[in-house]
Amino acid sequence: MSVPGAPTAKEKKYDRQLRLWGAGGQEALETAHILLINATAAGSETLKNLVLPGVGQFTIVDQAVVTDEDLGTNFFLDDSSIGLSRAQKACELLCELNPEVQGHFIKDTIENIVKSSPEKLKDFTTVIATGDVCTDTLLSLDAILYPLGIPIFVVKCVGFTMSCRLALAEHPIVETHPASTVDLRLFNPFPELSALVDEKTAFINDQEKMTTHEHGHLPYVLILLQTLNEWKSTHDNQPPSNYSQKNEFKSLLRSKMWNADEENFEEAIAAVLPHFNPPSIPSETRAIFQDEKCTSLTKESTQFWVIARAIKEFSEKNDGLLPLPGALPDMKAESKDYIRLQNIYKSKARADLAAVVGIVRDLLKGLGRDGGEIAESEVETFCKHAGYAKLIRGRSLNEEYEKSPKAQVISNELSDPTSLIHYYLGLRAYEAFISEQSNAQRTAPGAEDSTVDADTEKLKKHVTELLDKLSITYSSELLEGTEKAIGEIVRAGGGELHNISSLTGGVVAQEVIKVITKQYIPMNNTVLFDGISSRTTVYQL
Amino acid sequence: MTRAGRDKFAQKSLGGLHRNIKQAKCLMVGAGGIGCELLKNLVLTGFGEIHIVDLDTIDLSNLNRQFLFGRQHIKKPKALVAKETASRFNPNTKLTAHHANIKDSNFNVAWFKSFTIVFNALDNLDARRHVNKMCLAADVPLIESGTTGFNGQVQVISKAVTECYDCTTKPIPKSFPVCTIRSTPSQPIHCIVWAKSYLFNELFGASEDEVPEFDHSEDTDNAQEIKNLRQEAQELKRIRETLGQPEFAQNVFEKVFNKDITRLLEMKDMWKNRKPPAPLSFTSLSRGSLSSCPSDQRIWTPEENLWVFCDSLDRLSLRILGLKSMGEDLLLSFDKDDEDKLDFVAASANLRSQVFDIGCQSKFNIKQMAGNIIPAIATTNAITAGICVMQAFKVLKQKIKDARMVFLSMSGDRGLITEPLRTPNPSCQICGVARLDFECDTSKIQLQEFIKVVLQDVFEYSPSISILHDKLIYDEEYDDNLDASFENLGITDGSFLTILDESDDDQPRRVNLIVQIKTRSPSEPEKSFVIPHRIDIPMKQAQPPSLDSLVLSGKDFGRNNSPHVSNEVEQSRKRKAEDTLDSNQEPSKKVKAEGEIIIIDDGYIEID
Repeated sequence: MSVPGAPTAKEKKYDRQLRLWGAGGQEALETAHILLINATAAGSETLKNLVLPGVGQFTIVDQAVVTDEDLGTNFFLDDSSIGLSRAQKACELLCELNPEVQGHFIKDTIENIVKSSPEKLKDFTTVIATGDVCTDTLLSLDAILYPLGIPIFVVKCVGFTMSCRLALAEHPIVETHPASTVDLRLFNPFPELSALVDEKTAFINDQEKMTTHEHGHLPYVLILLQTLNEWKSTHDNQPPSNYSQKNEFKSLLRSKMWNADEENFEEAIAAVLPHFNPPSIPSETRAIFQDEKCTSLTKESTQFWVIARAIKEFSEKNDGLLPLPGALPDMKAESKDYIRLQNIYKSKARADLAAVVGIVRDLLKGLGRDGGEIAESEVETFCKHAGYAKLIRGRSLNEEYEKSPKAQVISNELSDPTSLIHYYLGLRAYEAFISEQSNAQRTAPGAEDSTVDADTEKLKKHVTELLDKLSITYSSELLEGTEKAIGEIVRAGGGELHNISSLTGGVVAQEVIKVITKQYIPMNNTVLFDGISSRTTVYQL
Repeated sequence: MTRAGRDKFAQKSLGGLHRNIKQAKCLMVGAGGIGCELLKNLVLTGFGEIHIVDLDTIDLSNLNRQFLFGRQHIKKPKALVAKETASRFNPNTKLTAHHANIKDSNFNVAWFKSFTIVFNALDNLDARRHVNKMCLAADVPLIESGTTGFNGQVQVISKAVTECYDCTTKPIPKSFPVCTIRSTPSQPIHCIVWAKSYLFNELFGASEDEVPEFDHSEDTDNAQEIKNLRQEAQELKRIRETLGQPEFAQNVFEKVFNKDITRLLEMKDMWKNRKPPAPLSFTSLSRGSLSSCPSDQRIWTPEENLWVFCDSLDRLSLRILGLKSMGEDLLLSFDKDDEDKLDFVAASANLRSQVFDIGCQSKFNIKQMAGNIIPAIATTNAITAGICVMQAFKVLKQKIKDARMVFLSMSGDRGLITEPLRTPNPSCQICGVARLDFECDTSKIQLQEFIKVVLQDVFEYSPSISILHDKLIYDEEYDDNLDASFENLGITDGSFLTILDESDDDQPRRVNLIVQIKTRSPSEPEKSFVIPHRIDIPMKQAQPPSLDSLVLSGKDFGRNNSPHVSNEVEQSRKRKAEDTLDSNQEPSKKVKAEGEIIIIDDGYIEID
């Protein structure tokens, strides 16, 4: 029986993910077009995890034909695929997973596309490179995409090891999904809140005028504010500032209890350490305010920067306070008092929002733009997350490889034999090994048993060349970890292990979703995973 | 066709382990989100034999991640379809599917023993605990996993080597005092539970008494109100008989949003410290005229709530009448994915929220709260399943000490949090136990015979013991079953009895004894059991370490709790004290002070 107005079949299918990234995130996903370079097992698994939640379109670029080995690792190829185009077969089988997704394929190499028709690349929302792509091609891709703001994921998956490098120029995130956005304004209560404190706590110490029940149901926020007033009157009008003062403050709270089981006072005591912090703008938010894009808006400024600027101006007019998010945690209280307190916070949040909206409108007009072009709901989302927003300014592959490599990060880790930086070096050597060969007859290190020793030596040589180029001093002792990593990489012979590819597909798709939806904080910029120890490390390289 | 190529890379990377993998026989419990990924990984890694057990059938909302299923499979059993789809991808793996409940008696200890390794890919606490218990009894390693949204975790469990699933306390499932739901709601969730578990059931389903969301432990404190509530429910049953008549919706409305509320208002004491509710009148409320159900994303207006209330009642009534006319008299049960039912619950909950001046909720949110929906996506499942297999490699290599507890986190600074496995908690009620196999003829042996001859004579237990078989069957004050045979007590082959030492606090107590029953062929008909050899039953530690100290803060996130609903749950738990009818009285403790995990108080029933 179909019911008018009920959620559509599509909404039902996506219900469990809509509860994570909402309709806005879903829309971003459904309008995205992903380019996958090479239908490797890891690449196909990544696409699977994007096709299932309903990415708009994908295109696979791959010139290879399906081999027997592919079947052992790639779930999206079957017996009937052998000898056929890998791009085409993977595309067909992936499309079966979700009829809402459009899949395309190009039977060609990315090298050819970069050389002959680079303009094609500009249509993609995100590019994922997997398999054996040589350094020159990666750097050419980077040179085209990075300035356009198109994120590139470079994924390497060999044996038990994987790495995922994200090159993303500028990435502002409003909805970072923090655990909580509670701001109680304990150190700077607004007038309505202070008035409620005076009204409700006048008899907090008077057993004649307040019943035990009332005393045991005073919301802890009010208890804290009343006790703070008392404290400040004997401490030069200053709140407790250090650990010992905070402990003293807790004792003061305890002394106000009428009996030992007043849960609301226990809540107040427990809130002292987490909530007694002088108001300050978090460093991530400050970085946004100080960014040139915020300080000098232009006609082209994106919505993010206009709202960020408005919030900056708001805080300058309001003693450095950000707009109040308005959330209130649960607490022991009478329902009516709790609802009143909640309304006081909500009203203040609404008033702050209105002020920010006003500034946004004025800014837009000042820029000669339509004052109404940014919806109030967007401003509201930003206001709620003002203390949690984050701006990622990434690094291009060219910076990592050529212009300003982060040699210090690498050299700091070198002496730790368990560090995953050794896998980074090993995989960079793998890439160099591949890049030396011509496109047609590329073989991975260790692919043939007879060349294992020679290949191992070659990889070691690539590592030392890289370290020399980065002017990193090393000893054979320091390279112990790297030699082990190289051993693992050569042992795999360039092959993927389905299980690791599958996990890689999960990790990469998750990061792609974060970037496309502009929600949650992506891992910036290199994730390394070692399956043997089940560990990951994130480096900024 | 030879398949040498297929295994080439697995052989290279896995070396000698590859042979163990090919010979392994694994059990996978659950073929849902993690299960689909896991099955694919196991098949493509080349595991020799895999049994899949799942009770569930496929739903549309599974398809955003459970890729072994397509639209054509909706309503088909997950276990069978998963097997069918996965079998195409490696002809060398032998797959067996069981569309069944893992708690069924044929999945006994002997059956568990036949596996090399067990994977839990479950979505509920109860089944997880059961498999944990069975794997401990069978001494088979278990890879336990779970996800919630972007979070996930994998744990390796091996008897006496690592901690078991129950070595750390799990979040207490939610339930609400009857009076909070029926008389004094203060949160949207209270109104939602009322609509779903009381009103819906009284009108269309079974009676309220069976509902797990109700916590009856405070009933005795509020005897008079409980009596009134029973009467109200009776009156509602009479209105149920007018189903199908034009005034049905109005009758229900007037009853629950006016008459019952007016009666509540007369209980003046109840409203001394609370805002009294405001009855609604059907005739004075404007019903509006909508052509279809309003959006589920925004909060409905009072008029829209009334319209949906009436409209969904009509739709449900038609269905009931339709069933009746076909000679079926089926009861309906709430299903979050059934729009008629969800509309009714959403509108009723919001109307009740209006009465009690509690904030209304959107249908989208009500669905999540009413259905205990846990957000779920493909990526988290893929990562989690991949880690499960990595841990299985360690187990198959006999290197369990190298296995790790792994947590997935959303944070951008690090992907996985990896910890060494922890050792068993000595005071765990599940793995910190002694075990005994007991052969008997269950039709002959009586409980008192077992207590006297086995427990007291062989093991020298004092009279201060309790015996549990799912529920309490004996203690010093409860001797009703002494003459009953095991068979009459439902104790059969494969059953477990738990013997608790209830000596006084100042006496040392033994750890729990788990007795596994094995039926005996009547070769010697005169003897109804074999007297077991005495085994050593260690004493409990004098000062058991606090369970809290074993739970790492922040990392033991709820495997069953959605982050979105947990806030609500937390809220309702905190305010419970206020919402009991007698505000000055603390609610009685639900779980026995000692933390015995078997719940004897029949008023408190766990839900997931």
